[in-house]
Amino acid sequence: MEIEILKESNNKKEMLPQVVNRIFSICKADPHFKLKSEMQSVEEKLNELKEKVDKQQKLLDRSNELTESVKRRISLIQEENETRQNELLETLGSEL
Amino acid sequence: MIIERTKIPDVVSENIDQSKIILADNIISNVYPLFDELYQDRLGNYSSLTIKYKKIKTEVKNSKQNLESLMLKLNRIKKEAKLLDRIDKLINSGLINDGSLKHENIILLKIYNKLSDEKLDFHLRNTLKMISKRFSE
Repeated sequence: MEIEILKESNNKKEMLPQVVNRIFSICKADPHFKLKSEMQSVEEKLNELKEKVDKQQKLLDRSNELTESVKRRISLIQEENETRQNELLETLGSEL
Repeated sequence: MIIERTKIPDVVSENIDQSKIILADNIISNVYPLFDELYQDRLGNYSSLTIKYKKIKTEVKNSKQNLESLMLKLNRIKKEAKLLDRIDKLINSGLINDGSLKHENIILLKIYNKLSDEKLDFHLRNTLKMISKRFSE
């Protein structure tokens, strides 16, 4: 008998978070909750802002990738130009 | 049997409706302050996210400016590469192997990367004209 009551008591403890969540969701939907509309408005704004931040972050990542790529291309072409400049000067019998 | 002491009022069949109201009021009075905290927490998140958004926007703007200046540099060195290519063609076609033209091109080869954009464009047009003239003959 005692074991059964203890088991039941443990089951109730496990149920506690669900009960709290339920109370929370019911209270949140209660029109008498004074911050209900403000809360909704802030949550909407927060979600909008999160989307904007994600978008800007993607843009920044892409821009950084492109910057690195352009830097590599510049360095490569500059190197080729210098080699070519030396070769052409050599062909014309001169040097830098 | 284990008896737990709680603050929940005892319910008897006579006062069950009143007890439900008291219980509900107790729950509400305990839960609402948590919503206030939640609301303040959301406001705090919104405020810090706004700061992050402004910061990231500035970074994007700076990165864009940096990329634009790099693109200008890339275009410039591409033009320089084109000029070198044309000088190479002129040399290979035997047009500047001697005389003042050779001397001019040696100087051009030495200073091409220090020329202004206008001068570089001028030499690009000039070398193209010479190549076209050479191959149209």
